[in-house]
Amino acid sequence: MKNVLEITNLKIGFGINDTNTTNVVHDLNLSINEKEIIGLVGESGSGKSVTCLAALQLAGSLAKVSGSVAFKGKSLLDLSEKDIAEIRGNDIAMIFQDPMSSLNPVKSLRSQIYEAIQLNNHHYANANKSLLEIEAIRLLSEVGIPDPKHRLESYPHELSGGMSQRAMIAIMLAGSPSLLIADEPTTALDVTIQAQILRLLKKLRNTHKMSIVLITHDLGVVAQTCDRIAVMYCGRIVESGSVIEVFKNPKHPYTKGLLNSRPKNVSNQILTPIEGIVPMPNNLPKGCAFAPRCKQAIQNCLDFIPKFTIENEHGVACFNPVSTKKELDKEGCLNE
Amino acid sequence: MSITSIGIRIIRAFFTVFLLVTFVFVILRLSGDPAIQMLGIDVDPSALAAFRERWGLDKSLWEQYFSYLINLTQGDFGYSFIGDRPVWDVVVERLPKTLALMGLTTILTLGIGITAGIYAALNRNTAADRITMGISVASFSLPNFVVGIFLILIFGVMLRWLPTSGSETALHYVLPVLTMATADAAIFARFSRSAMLEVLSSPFMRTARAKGLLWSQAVRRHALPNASIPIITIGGIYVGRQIAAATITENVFAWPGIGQLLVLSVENRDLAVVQCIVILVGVTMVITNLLVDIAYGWIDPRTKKEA
Amino acid sequence: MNEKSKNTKQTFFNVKNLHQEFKVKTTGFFQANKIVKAVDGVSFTIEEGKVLGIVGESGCGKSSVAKSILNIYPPKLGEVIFNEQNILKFSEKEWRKLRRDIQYIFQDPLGSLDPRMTIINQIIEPLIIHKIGDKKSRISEALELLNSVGLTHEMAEKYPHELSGGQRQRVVLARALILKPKFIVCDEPVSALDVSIQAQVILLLEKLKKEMNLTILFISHDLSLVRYLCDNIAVMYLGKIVEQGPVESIYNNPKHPYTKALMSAIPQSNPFSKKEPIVLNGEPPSPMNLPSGCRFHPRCWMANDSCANKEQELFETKQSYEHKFACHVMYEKELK
Repeated sequence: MKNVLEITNLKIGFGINDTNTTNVVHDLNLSINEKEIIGLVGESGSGKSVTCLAALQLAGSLAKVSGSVAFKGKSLLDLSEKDIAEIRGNDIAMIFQDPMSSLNPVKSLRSQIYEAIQLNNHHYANANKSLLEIEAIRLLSEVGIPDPKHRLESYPHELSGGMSQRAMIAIMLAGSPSLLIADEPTTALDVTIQAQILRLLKKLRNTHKMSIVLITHDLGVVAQTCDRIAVMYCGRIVESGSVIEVFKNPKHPYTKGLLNSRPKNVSNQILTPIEGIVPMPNNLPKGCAFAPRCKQAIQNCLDFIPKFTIENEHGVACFNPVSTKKELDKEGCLNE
Repeated sequence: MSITSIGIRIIRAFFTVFLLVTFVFVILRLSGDPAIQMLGIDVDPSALAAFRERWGLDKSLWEQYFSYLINLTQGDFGYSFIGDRPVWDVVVERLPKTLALMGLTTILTLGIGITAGIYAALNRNTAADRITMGISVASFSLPNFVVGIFLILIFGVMLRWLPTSGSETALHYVLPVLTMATADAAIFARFSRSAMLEVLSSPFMRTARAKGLLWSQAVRRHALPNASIPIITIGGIYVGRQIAAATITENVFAWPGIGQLLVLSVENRDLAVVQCIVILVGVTMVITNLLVDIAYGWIDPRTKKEA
Repeated sequence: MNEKSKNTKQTFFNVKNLHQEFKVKTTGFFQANKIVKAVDGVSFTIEEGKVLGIVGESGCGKSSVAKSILNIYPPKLGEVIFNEQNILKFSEKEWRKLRRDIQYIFQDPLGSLDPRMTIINQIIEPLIIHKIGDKKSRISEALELLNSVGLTHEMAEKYPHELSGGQRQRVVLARALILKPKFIVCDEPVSALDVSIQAQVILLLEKLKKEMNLTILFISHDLSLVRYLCDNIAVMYLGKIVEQGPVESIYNNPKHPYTKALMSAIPQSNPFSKKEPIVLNGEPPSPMNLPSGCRFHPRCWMANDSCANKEQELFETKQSYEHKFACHVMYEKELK
């Protein structure tokens, strides 16, 4: 499978000048394949959002980014503003967590979606209003917004959470991107609306042959929606692989900890929380960032940072991974 | 904005002006005897009595009040004690000078202030930003009249480059406008900067760029319209109060406008003139507020929901 | 168990026919203020030592229920019986006394703590207000409680902003528990926390519940979490309870169509069982324009003509008299 996005040795730091920089992403490597939905999982401070923002040069002026990000072979990090703006919306699109504040409150939906169409769909670059309207209605219908013609008149504050997220997706589909980055798209939404949006994303992946990076902290969402998963902790990927493989045989103690500490909608569950707290990016321990909280940390873990190694498409960065094969019981829980 | 809501606002506006007039009416009459003010304290009491009778000051407060109101509805603002001229004429002949001064100041203030503020916001934390903000703080820290007197001292007295009183030539405009504009522009600069910064960090700006807009396009199409909302509010209040603000500057620079007239008339207890100017100021503020509200409703669709 | 013994059993906390309304400003000069019925006839009971969960999506009224029963927003109608008294009729003084028995924890731990008081002072404050003990005994009790919630004595002199989210929530918990209450109302106590920290706080709550025989009212939108922690649940939709009963009975065998949709929308952490969630039509209607009859009928796939005319009433299931649901269509099906 061809790689849609190839991230190599990505390092991201924030700071006013070179001496005052705090690194939040360290040496990250990730490939995203065609037509796959990959879940990027992590808690606050993991760097999952900033990684994707940096790929599109949207991480802000204080971000110091090094390494390489290649979209279908084309390097993104060194593109000029004009060139990267070409890519945004057109080839790579991004939707965000709070859809209601991600839309301009003083402009109608019509204006905002027309703008996206004219920018990103070269067939419509100079189209007249009626052609634009037809296309806008088509996009809104595709994402399941009822009565699209009237909806165009709405302003963002008149739309519900679910409706605004759909509108955002429609806006971002205007350019038929090959890659959609969805940054916690359903975290702020009710669970039934979340189910609708996730179903929509899966449908779009099939109809548009699009890859999707689904950034989330909810493992249930990943299990139901994603093909692959990459788990991040303190700016590094600690484990990656197919969802089925990683859920069945998690190798990294953090992944296992996450799987065991989330209530799973089953009866008689035993919750085992991960003790301790996530360290601050400017106060990372020497060695593996997870070691202080890890139940199976060994000496190497405290002194060195484990390298990420891939075996049978299941990658992990750990000196002492969870080794025995675990079986899931019939309700999907790991047996201790 | 619906006709009903505009209608309500106009009715409220009337009320405000009405209260204002009543308040001034009462205060003026309680604060000193115009007869004594005009004629002096050593004059024969019969002369004072004659003065009072001539101007209706011997009637009860209520009678004076009601006859004033009735006259107002007919467009009669009364007569000035000084020169026995219709107040309306007295005020109107001074109006153009004030408007010229205020107009120029407003244009400069808004133009320089808002531009500087937005520029500073777009270039945050650079030298340009810090310098602009530094100058603003200095400018609005100094009181208006201190700046005025200071400028007079340097440019009028010491260097003799600019005239310091009167309004005959274009050069006469420089010092008063500069005095008023510096502090106000500074306030607008700071305010516009924060309004702009807040908008620049909004989630929808991120969306705009994610769509593929260049930074400059995103600023123009998305940031500016949103930032203009708070700026318009302050701008509206500012324009509304300009006539009132004229008072101090005109007096410092002996500018023959309404501000100077107001101070003179208060000193002389020239009641009708004071009342007329107060009404003028009140009506101006109310009209600008109304226009700002309407502009709001036009720019920000969220306000259409409220009455 | 027959009807008689059911009624004579002392229920610890009894809410009867709670109604809560809010006024909403609308456009125009002559239109009256519209009334939103946030809580429309809600009744439930909680037994001592048990946890009742109230779940529902945004706008269902669950937070309003919490604030109403505590008289934070005095309800329009209804009774709340605790210790055989209607606490809604209590005076200020009586409420003060009641705070020793009833405490509450709301969502935002930073907002709940005074930023200018040290942790230890915030925890002993309730003791001072209720004039319990002397300075020495208060501090020693507070330190002990600090340990029980998993914080060290070093935290005592710190300020809220120096602690992490999870730590703050523990402080809020300690402050709520220092008076040794019998009943705690929690409204989304962990949603603002990182996923791995949520488990820590939930387990803490569970432990303290067992040790102190606490009764808990747990309001949350996180259905998996509610299943883990609660003994009974009530499902709300637009101000009414549509289903209530023992937690396993409802999760395994939901009767009301809305509950079915809700349960099916929970993303399962088991990638092997990818079941399609029931996707509801449309969006929840605005609480200002409630549908007639059953509030759910416009979105319900089982609705028939009678649904718009009949007001909901609660029916018992065949399996358990405690498991009730408000759908006559389903009930008729049950009877067959």
